[in-house]
Amino acid sequence: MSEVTVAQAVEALGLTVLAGEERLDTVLTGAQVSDLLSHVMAHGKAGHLWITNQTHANIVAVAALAGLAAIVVAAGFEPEAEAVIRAEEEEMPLCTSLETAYTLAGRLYQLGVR
Amino acid sequence: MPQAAIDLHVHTALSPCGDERMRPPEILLTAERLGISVLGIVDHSTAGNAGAIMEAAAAFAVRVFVGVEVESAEGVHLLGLFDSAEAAMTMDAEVAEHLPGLTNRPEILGEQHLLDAWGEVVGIEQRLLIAATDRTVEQLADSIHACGGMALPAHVDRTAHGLFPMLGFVPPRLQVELFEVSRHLDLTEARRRWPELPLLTSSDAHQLDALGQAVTWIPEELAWAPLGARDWGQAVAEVLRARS
Repeated sequence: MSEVTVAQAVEALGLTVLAGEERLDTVLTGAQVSDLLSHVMAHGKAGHLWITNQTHANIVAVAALAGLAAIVVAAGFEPEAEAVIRAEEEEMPLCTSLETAYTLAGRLYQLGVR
Repeated sequence: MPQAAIDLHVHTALSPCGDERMRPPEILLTAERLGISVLGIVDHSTAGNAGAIMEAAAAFAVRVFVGVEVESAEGVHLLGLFDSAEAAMTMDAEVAEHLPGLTNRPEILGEQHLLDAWGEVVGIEQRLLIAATDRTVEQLADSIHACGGMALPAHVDRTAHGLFPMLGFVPPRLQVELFEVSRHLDLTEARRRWPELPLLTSSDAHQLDALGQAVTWIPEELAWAPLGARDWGQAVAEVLRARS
């Protein structure tokens, strides 16, 4: 797999970065799509980019616990203000996109994130 | 100390998935026969049958809380229970403002019956009640409290709409009195998993024969204690927390 950083994914997918700008240099080890936070907590892989429609502040803690590289809130959903604050504190890249999780996942796969 | 059985999660025929025989007199009579002392009776997103239930409840030796089972924007189900139909309807109105405004499809989801105290159908609810509001689980809990009720996340263990699968852990700012585990999870096992939480179990009955399939035991004195819904919920929580 080619090396793709969070910053490159942000650029290629046209993501809006709401928090964690200083941590966009992480190389992605893969990606996952899930709206069940417990599943991400249990099975999230370090360095993964996580695409979700969940907007609750808990997404940041879950991502941090699993050592994820970035969170992308898809389909035009806006994370709670609390989530953005937490993401800044945790230095967890938190992005949004108007595209659906399906489209984002497809583009990431094409980009070489496997 | 004599113990009393409580079942705080029972639906009426107003819930689309609720059996049409889930009418106030049948629910109350079944509970009384089973020896259940305290019932919580809710419907999805509405308390439209609360008035009929409270009117009917006067004839039975069962303490009744009425309210709503409401879905947060994250997909978490939360019970709001009140000691009067008026309080429950205040929450009902609050929920109505935050529903997506869709129409029920009875051929897919089932009919939604508004009933009187005798169990006669007095109306059909047309709104789609099985739907998420645009409020966070914390906001919904705060609204329940503002209306004078007790808040408890429903079936916290269930993948579908349970707090733990959906949100991973209890959000730090969430204020609730109790946590309900589904009847599919043994209460002893649940207490091992979440020892710090006041856990109870209930039937989540949608049919009469499911009523009381899971109950929680509390001191009989507490069951009948003359406390408002929220204070009663807190008192029950103290007892349940001590069992973990």
